[in-house]
Amino acid sequence: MPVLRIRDREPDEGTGASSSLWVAIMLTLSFGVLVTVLAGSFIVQSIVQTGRESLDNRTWVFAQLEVDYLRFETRLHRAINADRLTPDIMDRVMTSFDIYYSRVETVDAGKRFFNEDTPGTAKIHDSISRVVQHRDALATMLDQLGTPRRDDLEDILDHSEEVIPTLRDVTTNALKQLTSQYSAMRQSEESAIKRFMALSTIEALVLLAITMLAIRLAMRLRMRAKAMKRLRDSFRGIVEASLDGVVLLSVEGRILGYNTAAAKIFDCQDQDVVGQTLQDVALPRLRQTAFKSDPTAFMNEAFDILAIRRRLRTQLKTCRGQMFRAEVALARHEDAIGRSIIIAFVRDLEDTIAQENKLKQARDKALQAMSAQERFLNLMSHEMKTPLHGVIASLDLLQDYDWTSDDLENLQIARDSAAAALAQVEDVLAISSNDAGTRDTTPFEPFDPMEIVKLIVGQARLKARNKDVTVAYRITGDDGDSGISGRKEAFRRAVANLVDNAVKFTEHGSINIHLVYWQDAASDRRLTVKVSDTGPGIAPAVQEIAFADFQTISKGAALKYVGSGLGLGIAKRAVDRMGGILHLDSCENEGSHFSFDIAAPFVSKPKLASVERPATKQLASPDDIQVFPRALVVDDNAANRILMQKMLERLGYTVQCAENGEQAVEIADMWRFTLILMDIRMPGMDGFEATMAIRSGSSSQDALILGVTANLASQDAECFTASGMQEMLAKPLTIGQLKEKISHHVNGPKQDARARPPVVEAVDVEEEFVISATSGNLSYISETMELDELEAWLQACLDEIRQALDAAARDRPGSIQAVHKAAGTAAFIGLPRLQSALNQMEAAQADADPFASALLEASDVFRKIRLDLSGA
Amino acid sequence: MPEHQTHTPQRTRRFICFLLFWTFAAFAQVASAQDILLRVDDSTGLSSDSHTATFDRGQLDALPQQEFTTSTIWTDAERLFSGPALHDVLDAADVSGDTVHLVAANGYEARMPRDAIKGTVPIVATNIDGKPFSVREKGPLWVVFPYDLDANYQTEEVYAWSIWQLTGVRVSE
Repeated sequence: MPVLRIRDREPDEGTGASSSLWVAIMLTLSFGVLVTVLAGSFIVQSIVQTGRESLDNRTWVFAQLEVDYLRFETRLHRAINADRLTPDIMDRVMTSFDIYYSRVETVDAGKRFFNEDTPGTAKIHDSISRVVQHRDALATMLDQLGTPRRDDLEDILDHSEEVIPTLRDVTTNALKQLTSQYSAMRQSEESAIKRFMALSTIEALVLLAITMLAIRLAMRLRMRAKAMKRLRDSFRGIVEASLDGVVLLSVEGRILGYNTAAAKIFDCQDQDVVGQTLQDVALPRLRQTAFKSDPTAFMNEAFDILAIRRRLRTQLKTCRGQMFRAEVALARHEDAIGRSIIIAFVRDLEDTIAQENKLKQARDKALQAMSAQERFLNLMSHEMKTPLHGVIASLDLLQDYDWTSDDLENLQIARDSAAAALAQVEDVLAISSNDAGTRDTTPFEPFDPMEIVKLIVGQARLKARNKDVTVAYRITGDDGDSGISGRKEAFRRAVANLVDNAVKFTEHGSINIHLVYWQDAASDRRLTVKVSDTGPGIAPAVQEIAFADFQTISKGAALKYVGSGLGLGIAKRAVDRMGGILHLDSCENEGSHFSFDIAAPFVSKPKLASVERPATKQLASPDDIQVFPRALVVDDNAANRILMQKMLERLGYTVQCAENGEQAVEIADMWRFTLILMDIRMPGMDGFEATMAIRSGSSSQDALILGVTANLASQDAECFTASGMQEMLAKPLTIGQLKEKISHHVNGPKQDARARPPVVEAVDVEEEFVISATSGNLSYISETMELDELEAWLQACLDEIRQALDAAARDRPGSIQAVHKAAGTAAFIGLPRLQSALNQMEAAQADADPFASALLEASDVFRKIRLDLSGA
Repeated sequence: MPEHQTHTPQRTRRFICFLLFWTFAAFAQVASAQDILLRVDDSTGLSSDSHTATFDRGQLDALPQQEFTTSTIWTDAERLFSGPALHDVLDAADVSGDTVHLVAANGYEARMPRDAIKGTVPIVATNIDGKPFSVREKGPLWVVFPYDLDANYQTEEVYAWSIWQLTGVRVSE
């Protein structure tokens, strides 16, 4: 396993900075030693000098003075006492005197060794002089002796003895002086030695200190060397372990070293390419010339490029000549001894690129699949909704006929069922399309939540007519202006699903919808919608499941509740789309309370509170310029075409049809249309394209073009805005919606100030007595019927109820069924209180007293209603 | 002694004795000009091996002469000392031994190792300033080192070896 190959020399760690330190230490040491040696030798010399002082000898000389004299004196005595003075005896006397003589001579010569400053010296000199004088006198006496006689000798003796005290003086004084000199010398010697000792000690200490410092230095250097080595090793380890190839280059592009990964990338594990240039390895041929001409400039250029881009994708060549795509990053650095080097990081991109391509392919496939899914969804939505749409529309149209109330009811049921089926299909598709990730492109539109709630409540009452459940709603805080700008469809879906869910699961009691308008902290208006029921509730533990798609909470084994299990999920998604959060507060057997709140920006309420009735086949709007408004219906589906045609004819238009986009464009150019209902999804030229074509220069270019589509959400918003359509409507289209949209676009945002003759006005006497033309299913009934027809029908319903109450009061047979039917009718019309009362009657049929009270209540309510209606 | 004899033969005998006495004295004087100045011997213990030699002035003068001028701690001026080298004297005496004892007239003795006596130093000075010097002048023989010439001669040891009034040299083991 090759380790990072670097050919540069490893410099000596620790030298350089510290060698001067070593030199300093050495110099100091040498200097110290030199000083010691010099001082020592000086001291030694002084000691040696002491040895030359000849003090001992001088002392001897003085000590011998008396001795030599006494020897002479002794000889003299002997000679005096001898029997005969032989020459031999005289010789001896003379010899001893000569010796004494020379001794005195020596002493006299030694005078000069006494320091003249010393106090005793003069005395000594004086004494010595006297001794010399005496000696000289003696010498004269002795030399003049011819034949010595005893008497002569005695004289000499007497003379000699005179000198004895002086000799004593000389000796003692001289010796004293000499000893003190001697001791002084010894002392100086001593102090010299002490000085030397002190110097040596200091020297030794200094040496010790320096040695310690040197040791410490050496240790520290060693540690540093170790640390450096560790660092270097870890650096090598890092570089070697790197997955990227790391190549060290000189500034001229010569390879200094590389790690295993690089060897692998460049496929040169079996050779050593250190020392070769980039030209030999790595550079593709077309770069080689540029490199060869000026390697340093080439490298600098590479740096310039990288300064902008950080990393560089380029083509490189392996040692075997194979080209590959690589990513390169460069960095300038210094090697261990400070030379400039370049570190190159190389990553083989072939795999990465292959992966990227694979991912791209997968993504494209997924997109394809997604669009396939989308297309499928669109197709399905179209295919599934179209027949339902047809059914609903046909049923709508059927209501024109003169049905009995029973028939009407059946018709209603049929329509409800179809609508329910459609709703289910829409729900499923809504979920699928949500999951497909299509954007919610529904634009914000002004609508009245109250109206929608009324509609939903009406439907709910119908569904719940067989149960002992009342459905009611109330509004607070709206101050008469309950319209908001928002996602109408999402709102409808949310509330409808919540209410449906409540209706499904509540057996007894009530379902209440409460709309609360309020202002938040930032003074923006918000709307909180609460849907509460007295149903079995959803235990907190299972609440999450309740919201999950296709899950239902069943009580016991019996699946009493039929449903797709999608309702709550759809409601939640719809709330999410509006930017709210759906909350659930519920416990088992304590009912469920759903709530959500959304932004509720003000708009003026669209004119729906009153029923807008076309007088007869009149113009759709009095402001319409055209006397005979012409409309074009474009749809590839015949049923849709017919339906829309009928609707528009109802609204007073002269209608023409086109089967596809091309036809539409043709016809739109032949006639001037004021309104075009354009189906979007059509084979060949689609609705957007046709619209664009019509907008650009056809006779109908100024027409109000409304797009009609089965799936609003999946439409391309950009295409829509580009096409020139005014609005997109969702199928199935009710005539009321159509009218509203048309009047909206024709009249503009501001409301038509002209009052319509209201048929039934919304009268909020007490909320229980609200009959609104838009409540329940009355809305579309009212839309499809003439005014007098509506009145008659309403009357018929009320009669039916009255009859049922009469029958009940008289306890006629079959009255319970009648009451039942009446309750349904009451619900249908939108009389919850009455419905509730009638339900109670039905429920209490056997028990006389409850029945009676219920009857009483029902009658009471009914009377009140009649009163209201007649007053209106 | 008979008193009344004034015979001529008695007067003649006295005259002859007186003459002889003075002749001997004269001879003694003459003989004392060649008096023995130095006695050198070694005592190795075995009498057969011992040598004794005596030197008079003439004999000492016959040996190679050395001379140098130096001051000493016993004289007050520089003097020229001349005489044979002690080494040559010992060689001439043919004595063997490692220790040399120098004996002075007053009995003072100094001991020297034989190896300290080499070459021309020390000398047995016979003349100071070209003239012999008497006992009073620390003569007739003085072992002198050239003190001024070398600091090594200025030590107590050397001073102790510098015997004047040298009379004898005894060499032992």
